[in-house]
This record gives sequence, C-alpha cells and structure tokens, in this order.
Amino acid sequence: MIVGHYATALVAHKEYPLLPLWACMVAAMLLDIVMGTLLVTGVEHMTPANPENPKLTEMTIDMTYSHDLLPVLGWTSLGALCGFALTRSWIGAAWLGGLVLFHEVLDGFSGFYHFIFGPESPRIGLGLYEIAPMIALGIELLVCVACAWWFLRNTQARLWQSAGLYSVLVIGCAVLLPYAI
Amino acid sequence: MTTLVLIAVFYVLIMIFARGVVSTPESNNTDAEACQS
Repeated sequence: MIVGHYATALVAHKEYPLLPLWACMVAAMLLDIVMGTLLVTGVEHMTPANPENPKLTEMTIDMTYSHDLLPVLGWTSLGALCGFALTRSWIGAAWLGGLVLFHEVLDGFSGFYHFIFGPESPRIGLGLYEIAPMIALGIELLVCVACAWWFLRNTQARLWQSAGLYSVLVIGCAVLLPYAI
Repeated sequence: MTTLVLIAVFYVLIMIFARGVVSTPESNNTDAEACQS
C-alpha cells in the first residue's frame, strides 16, 4: 500500500487540523520512507525472482527495521513525540503516533507479511501481496475512496480539487497493477 | 529508489489538491473551531 497511507493522513488532518497536513502525510508514510532509505543503503532488501518482470507474489523481502512490529513501536513513539512537539498537545501526539501505527495495521490487510522482529519470529498480517495482490489493491482503493470522501465532505472543495484528489489516489493504486497481474 | 520516487511524486500530487481543499472558507471555519476547543 502506498497512496492508501496518504489517504489516512487526510482524515487525521480533517479531524485534528492543528496538525499540519504535511506532518500527517509524513507520519502516515514514515515506515515506507524508512524502508525506501534502507533499501537504497542496502540494509533492507526487496528482490524480485524475475527482475525483467517483477511480481508482488514473487518478491523476496526483508523489511525488519522499517516494518516489523517491535521497530514500528519505536517509529510510533517518534511520531508521537513529533506530534507533541508540533501541537504541545497529547491529542496531537496520539494522532501522529496513531498514523504511524495505523500504517502497520493497513499493511496487515493490504501488504506483505510482516513479523514481530525478524523472519524467525511469528509473522503478522494477511500477506495479501504474496497470495492475492489484486484483492490487496482493491482494499487499498476502498481505503482511498473512503478517506477522500471523509476529507472532502462538508467542504467547499471545487470540482477540480475533488476530481484531482480522487484521480491521484486511483492512479496511485493503479501504479501497482503491473506488479499484481 | 523507485519506492522513494513514488512516495515523493504522490506526496506532491496529493498536497496540490488537498491543500487547496483545506484552504476553502468552510475548512478554515473548521480549523478555527478546532483551535477554540
């Protein structure tokens, strides 16, 4: 899940506007930002079985430090600290920390298997990227539409703004289609 | 690297549309109400 996480940030900002939208966006995507950085530096790995035609179902992945549950609790604490620093409020801390933790929850429904800490520990999540990636993308699309609707309701958003936001989220889900089919 | 590029691209695109919505008058009223509470 990629844009689905950003969609949750829209809901958080709508419900607690004292948190800047950029902070909500970064918190919701923090685990993937960490993962992307660790992939570039070679600490974590995402290796397709066939690099010419990569598929989600054929990936060998290692996201121990970015996505396993114990490190995620640390990233959640970091998010909460930043939320408190930005708002001087425990509510802001809970929202920003909650966004980080909710990333892990959503990945449980639409993502790879994760683990408690390391591949030898018990795994968590449905692992739909590995067994049914199209269903995983469908779940992400539902999350995106629901969050965008929540964000846009009771606003005076112009048509181009609503259409643009929905379009970006749908395209964001579709980006992964070639890897799921 | 592809992951980071995707994250950055969609961050920019979503912010373009979402910030516009946030700045609409009714949303600003919601902000003000939240500040008061």
